[in-house]
Amino acid sequence: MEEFRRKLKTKRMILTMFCMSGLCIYFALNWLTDGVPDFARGLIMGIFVGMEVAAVYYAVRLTVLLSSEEKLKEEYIKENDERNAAIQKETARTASVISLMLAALASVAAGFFQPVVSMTLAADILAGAIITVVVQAYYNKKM
Amino acid sequence: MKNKIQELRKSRRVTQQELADALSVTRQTIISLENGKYNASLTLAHKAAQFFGTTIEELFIFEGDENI
Repeated sequence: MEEFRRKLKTKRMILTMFCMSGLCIYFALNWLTDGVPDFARGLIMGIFVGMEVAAVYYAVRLTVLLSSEEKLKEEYIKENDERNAAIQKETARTASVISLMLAALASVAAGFFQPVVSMTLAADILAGAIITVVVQAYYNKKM
Repeated sequence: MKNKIQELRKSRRVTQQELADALSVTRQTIISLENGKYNASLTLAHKAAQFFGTTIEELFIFEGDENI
């Protein structure tokens, strides 16, 4: 439990630092993306703002959890519950298979209209497959 | 794999929430264990057996391929 509390405190500290440095990162991104097409710039800024909002939300949530022993215990149980872990594992596996199949279908469909999109999707599938093989090899050695 | 968790829990007048708290799992996990929808890990099986003062073999009924 103490280790879990320490872990949450560290997470909160990292999130707070990210939130506090938001303005600096914003101006840095603005400067770095100077001359970049509007769409890409908007996308980068959108992702950054989204990350900031998520970081503020999680930092507040962690502060609430850390201020109440009861809520902290509840969260500890929820996070360490083996059924939840099994559900997450199954969800990730099923979702990745479905995503892969949909990406393959989209790649084939895009081939009729936009070869570049089709190739991009195929490259994404290939990268996903390589990552899966590498991660599997890692866990094969680890366990 | 079947188990006697519900039977033992009821005979000892323990609620699902109390058992969940004792085993450090959610109440939903206890419900799933009792319904046979989820099989406990060795650690959870050990904890449950300890809680009821019994053995894993007494608490969990292994069938068919689950035995040698």
